[in-house]
Amino acid sequence: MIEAVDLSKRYPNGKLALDALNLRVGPGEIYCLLGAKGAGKTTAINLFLGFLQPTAGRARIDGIDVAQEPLAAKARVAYLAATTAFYHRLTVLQNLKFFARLSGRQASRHDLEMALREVGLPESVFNQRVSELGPGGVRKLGLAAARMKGAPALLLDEPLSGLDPKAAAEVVELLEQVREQGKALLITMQDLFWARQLADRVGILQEGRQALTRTRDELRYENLEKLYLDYMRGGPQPGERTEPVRP
Amino acid sequence: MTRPAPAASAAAGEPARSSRLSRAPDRSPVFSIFVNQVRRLAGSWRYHATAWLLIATMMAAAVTAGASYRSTALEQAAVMDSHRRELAGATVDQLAEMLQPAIKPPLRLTLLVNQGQVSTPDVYSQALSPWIPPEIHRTQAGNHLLPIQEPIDWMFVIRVVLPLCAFILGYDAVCGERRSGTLKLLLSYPVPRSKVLAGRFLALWSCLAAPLLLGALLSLLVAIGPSGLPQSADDVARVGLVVLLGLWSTAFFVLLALLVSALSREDSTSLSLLAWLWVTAAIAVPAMSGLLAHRLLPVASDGEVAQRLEIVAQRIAHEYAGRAGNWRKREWARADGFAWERVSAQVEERRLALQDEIRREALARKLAQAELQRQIAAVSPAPLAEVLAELLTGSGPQRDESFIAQARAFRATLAERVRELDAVDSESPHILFFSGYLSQRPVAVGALPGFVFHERPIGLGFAAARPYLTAFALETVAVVLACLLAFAKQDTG
Repeated sequence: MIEAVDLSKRYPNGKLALDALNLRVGPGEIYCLLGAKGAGKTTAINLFLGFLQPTAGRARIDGIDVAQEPLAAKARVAYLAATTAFYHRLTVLQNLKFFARLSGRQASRHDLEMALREVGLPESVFNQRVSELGPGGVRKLGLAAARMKGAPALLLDEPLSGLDPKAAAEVVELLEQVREQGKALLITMQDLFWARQLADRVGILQEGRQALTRTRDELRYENLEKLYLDYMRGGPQPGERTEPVRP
Repeated sequence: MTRPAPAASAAAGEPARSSRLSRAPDRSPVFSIFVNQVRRLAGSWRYHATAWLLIATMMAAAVTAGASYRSTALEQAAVMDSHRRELAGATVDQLAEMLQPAIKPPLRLTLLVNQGQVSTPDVYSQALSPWIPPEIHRTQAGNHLLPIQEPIDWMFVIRVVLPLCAFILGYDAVCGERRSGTLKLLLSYPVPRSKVLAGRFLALWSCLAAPLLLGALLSLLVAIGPSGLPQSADDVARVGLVVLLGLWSTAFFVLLALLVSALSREDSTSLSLLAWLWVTAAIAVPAMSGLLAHRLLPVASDGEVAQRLEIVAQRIAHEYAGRAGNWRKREWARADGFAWERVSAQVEERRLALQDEIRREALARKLAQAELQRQIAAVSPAPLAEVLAELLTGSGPQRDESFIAQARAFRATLAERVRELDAVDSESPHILFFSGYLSQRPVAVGALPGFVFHERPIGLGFAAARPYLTAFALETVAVVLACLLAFAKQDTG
């Protein structure tokens, strides 16, 4: 489970990057955090990973306070971002083996190959250097590493950014599989189409404030694109709850 | 409170694979990071370039040290041969004005650190007669028209090449990973940052230590074999100490590279800072230290020393006016028992003692200046390692100081032996040490003692090195702490 309780972060320069974020992502659930660049999405991810210390509130992974027990929390969360890179001089298998070991897992070559097959990477790339993989391949390798970690929660920062539609669709399919395995996924993204497709719950961040949250059911009766653009244009005031329109 | 890892909850989601995967309790993350980093480094061209550079310069050190050792030994043998020929058939009386060379043999460990030993004087020739001033010179003068060349030895490698290699390998160890995005992924795993840093450090250190040790081994084989450097058991201990110093320096420079890399946001910033550090530590500080030492502790020029010697001579001449400088033919002087000559000899001995004092002062000042230069240079860790190596191997100014002291003591030994040879001749007036006033009997071959230079014991080197060792240890601890702090505060990007 991924949980934020009044989670806030103010940087030393005074900028309030995140203001009282509240969310809860349960097992088998995908929460998409939407927002423009600089809205505080990555700050939220960094707080969950323990890379930043919150100025107020709590970030919890599987019930563990990240600020109090960062290593225990990290053992329960896997991370993948659009900017995530692997060691380009090493092969796909070598990279996966390294990260499996870091998560304390003794994986045989067979296990590693199976993990790569499960994310749809062809066998021909297993012994290729990561530098020869395209962005979609790297993202799939990231997912394989995340799955090898065996963590109950996943944090994904713009996982579809920079992917072509086909690769994005493949990654979305993999994320759905991960959800079916009972994991809690917190995904930041800007792509409303995929957010609507994937999310069980959606939150919009506007200048660090949680402007709106909607469930998948609620979104059936609302136009997410319109809501999002309204907030981006500064429509409803931040924090103001707009009730979904029901038929 | 640390909670157990979520093996159970993970298994719930992935029953098929998780049941097969087991924990790896025996494999430390430090080891995994170490292996990963070594694998990455070993496949890079810059690692091959730096490793070969280290090995090649160490081999060059063996070749040049061997050549230098052999040619110095040959030159010195020639000097001794010439002296032996001069001694053959000489009388005790002739010994008085004959220059007796004391030779400082070439440093056996010149391969390790020959700093100064290839250029400082190695022959101290002195006569028993106060009329003959001592001569100090270098047997192998070489061509003065050539520019001064830095000796290539192990310490050149450790002081100049090694930091360069460490900086080239480590400049992007942290900031490069942050830029590429791997650092954030790595730190998202439950591994303490100190262990990530330890793995990185061990990998970089091992990658440099391996070629350094291989270079040292090959270099020693070349030096002992074709180059012919004699190696005693004591030498082996000193070699071991310098190797340890090299490994310590490797650790220090790797830590410095990691620190700068952790503090820099960009690879280019890190590389520029390290290049600046390298030029400062390995080149600028040693160069400036000589100028500073010269400014802070100036030494008298040869002309000034000669002037002071002349003043002493004039003062003595004035002091003993009319009572000294009377040297008559032996037959004439015998009539009054060499009365005038005895007084004259005393005066000359006094002049010699005073002039020797001036020479000793001038030399002591030069040695003090050399010491000061080393103390200033030791501000930088690269020359500090060299100073340590000098002290531990018994090289450097201490060896020259010891040589001059032993050579001066040799004059007293020689004088005593000549007095003994002269004493058995009842015909001799026994006035030391002027030709014409000693025994006219020939000196038997081997009757005179030869000069034997004793190297400084290793224990003395340790005692002298203690403050420098402490300074290096403190610097290392400071860099380790700074590294840990910088990496703990590292922004993941």
